[in-house]
Amino acid sequence: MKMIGQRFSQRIGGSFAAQLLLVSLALSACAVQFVSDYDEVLDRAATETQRKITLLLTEVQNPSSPARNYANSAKTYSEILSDLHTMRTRAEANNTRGGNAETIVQIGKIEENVVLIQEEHRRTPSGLPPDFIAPAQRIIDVQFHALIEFELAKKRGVGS
Amino acid sequence: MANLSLDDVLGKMVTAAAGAVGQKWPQVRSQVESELRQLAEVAVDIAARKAQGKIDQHQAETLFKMQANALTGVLAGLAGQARLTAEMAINAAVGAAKDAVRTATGFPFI
Repeated sequence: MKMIGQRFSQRIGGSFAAQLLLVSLALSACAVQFVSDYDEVLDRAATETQRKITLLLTEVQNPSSPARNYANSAKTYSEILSDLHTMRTRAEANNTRGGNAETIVQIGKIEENVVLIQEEHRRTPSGLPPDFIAPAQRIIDVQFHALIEFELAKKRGVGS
Repeated sequence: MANLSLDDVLGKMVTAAAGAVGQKWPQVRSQVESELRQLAEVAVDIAARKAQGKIDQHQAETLFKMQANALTGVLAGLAGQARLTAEMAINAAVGAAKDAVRTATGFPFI
């Protein structure tokens, strides 16, 4: 780089302007991006999917709701897992140089937890106890909070 | 299942989080303290509900697996925040250097 700069400077007369141009080019090349850009679609999908999970867990706790029976909730679990799969696929498609690696892990861990709740519900088809649902809901909330907080941070201080 | 102390659990989580991000920990600590505290409280809550017989062994194990998954997700977010902090610091330094060159030369196109 130094030799190229010297040759270039000599060729155009070693002027200060040439050196300045090289400095400018070097500075232009220095901007870095370690983390992917903010994704509004992913942000909205996360909020919507959290809403669906909360609705399901609220219904499952309601003694008079048909959703207490696993057979009546199986389709909702499938829809939620499909939404999460779509979100993860989108994050993976926007993972240039690993810039979305952490977001992919976060979504994957939410998927795993929904599957764990689903398996527990399948094991107790007449309905999950509120004492299981309350901590499960809180864990899911923490996961979505972390996911959305990090997505908003990707705005890099603009409009967040 | 032995009783869990909130301070013990939270202390172990904070140690793990600090180790995950190294020197960036002071800069990102405030962004995850709330999540770590909530997950520590959940761990204590699960143990208490199990001890009181409100959930069975299988349900307690499922909840602890969920809690561990959530912690992994929170730590991943923390690592991402640390990378983002580093990126913004480098770009701010580059921007400041550009401004200095612009000011010194009067060239607006740099």
